[in-house]
Amino acid sequence: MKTNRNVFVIAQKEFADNVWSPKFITLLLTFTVIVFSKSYIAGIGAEDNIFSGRFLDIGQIIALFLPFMGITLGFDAMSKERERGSLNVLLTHPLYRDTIITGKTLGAMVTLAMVVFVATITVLGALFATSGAELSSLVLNRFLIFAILTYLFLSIFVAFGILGSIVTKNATKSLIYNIVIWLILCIAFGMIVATASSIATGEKPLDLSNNDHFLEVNAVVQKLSPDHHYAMTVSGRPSFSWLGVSSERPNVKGISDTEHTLEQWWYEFWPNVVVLIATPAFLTIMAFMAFLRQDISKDMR
Amino acid sequence: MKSRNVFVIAQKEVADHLRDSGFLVLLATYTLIVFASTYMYGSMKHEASSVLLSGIHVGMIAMFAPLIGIVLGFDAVVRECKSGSLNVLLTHPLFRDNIIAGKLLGSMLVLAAIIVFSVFVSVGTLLSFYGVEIGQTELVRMTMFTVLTFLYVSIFLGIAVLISTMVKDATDSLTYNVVVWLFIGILFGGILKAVVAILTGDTSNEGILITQLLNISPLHHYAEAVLGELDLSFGGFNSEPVIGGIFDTEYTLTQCLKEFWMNIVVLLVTPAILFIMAFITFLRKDITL
Repeated sequence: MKTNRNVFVIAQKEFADNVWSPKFITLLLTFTVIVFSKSYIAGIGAEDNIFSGRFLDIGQIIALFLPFMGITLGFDAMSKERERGSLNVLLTHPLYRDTIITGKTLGAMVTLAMVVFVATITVLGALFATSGAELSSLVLNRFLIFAILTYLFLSIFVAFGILGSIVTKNATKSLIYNIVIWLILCIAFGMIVATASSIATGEKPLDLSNNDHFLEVNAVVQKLSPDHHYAMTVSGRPSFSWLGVSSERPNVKGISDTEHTLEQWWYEFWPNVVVLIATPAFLTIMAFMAFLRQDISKDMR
Repeated sequence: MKSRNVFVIAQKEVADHLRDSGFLVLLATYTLIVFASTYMYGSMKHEASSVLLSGIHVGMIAMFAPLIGIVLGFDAVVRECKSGSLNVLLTHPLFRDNIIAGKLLGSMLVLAAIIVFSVFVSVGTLLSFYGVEIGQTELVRMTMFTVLTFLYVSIFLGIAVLISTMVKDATDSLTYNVVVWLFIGILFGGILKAVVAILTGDTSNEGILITQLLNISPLHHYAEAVLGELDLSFGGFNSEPVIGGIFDTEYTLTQCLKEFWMNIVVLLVTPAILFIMAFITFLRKDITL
């Protein structure tokens, strides 16, 4: 009981720290503006069905740029305390190490839920304001699932951030490494994979008569990025990243495909959803293990 | 004598950057992106006036090169200030302007080397995988392209150094820099589209308002000078250029310069103004810990 309460106290502190920092507020404003501007344009194009038209653009902008928001929630979770020396003081209290990291992770995840909530409301609001479509339970259900998928996807990057804050020496390094992970996994993964598979198979990507082997390798390697699984479940496209080549064409075009039922959607994409759930869990466990055995003196290493 | 100090600091700055693991990792990522984008772009070769020039993915370089500028400048002042070494440094016979001049000089040297390097990577990829021809015209245009890219990225270096003199923490500086990068380097066109649509209800690509507002963005001037395009940002405006910037080999370089001198002047002046702002801010900064 006591341990549980400690977790919540730390989570609460972490949440408050995040929400009141000028950095977080600037980022939240920036991303709200970005998401709003995309949704506004998408809403003008869409008519009765807000999922038609350029809804995919919104999914893409979220998949490409919102991970940075996730990173900033986690990248200094541990290194901040360690550099200031407050972690040592904290541990002189009757408190276990796992309580601290659980609390920190929980706090960051709750903050992320707030971010996703704001983003979804912005998308929904802008789409309805410009398209004049009618609100229905169908749309709301889909949007709820869209929000959950976005949350799962972004939580991968929060977990990456927390892991980075544990294994690196200071917060600046942690942030730079996380930015690199974000650039590679979200923005450039498509072109890197396509280039690598093209060189490995010796077939040119756009040589339509002779690229079967290339497309096969490309489709397999693409699955390594969380972006692929998010893109599949949301839009049925294999990747949102830039300059990629995609050959997979699932029957259901993701959650935005209103011509198929949710059961059909689940039947088609459950492996992707499982990956989206398992990856953050796995990363969080790694962060736990790394932290429990870490040297937390101020000038580690 | 005084200028020797500047060079010593510049040298130290260059050495610091080249040993910094974070910088090296980001540099490797940037090189990978330039290589992969050129490889992909080269495989969809256009029938343009010069295969080499059209194979270079200017958009990707324009989007990701600013990150190098940012990572070179974001902790220039704040790192020294926080570690207390700035105070120690100033007990030596050394003026404040020496320090900032040396730091800017060092970072700009590294930046110039990286821009040249990334152009080599692009050209090398095209030469080795697609066997394009390279002649004197291409070489001259590539040199111009390198200079313009350097000027464009210097703007972000200037912003990064300016922010690093204003904030209290290196991670804050990096975060704000990334926000600036996303706003003016990547998504400016897309956001402007929405702003114009809200103001005028017009979603087409033409319109005086759009052309006027795009002038705020450094990316617009860079895109005009290199490709003659209105905008290179993600989800931004498309255009059908009459003269394809300095990459258009149907026009001589003089004609191109005559057409685009305004854009080049903006690219020259903006980093200069930002550097001056960084100077002034640093000269009057409170550097207590």
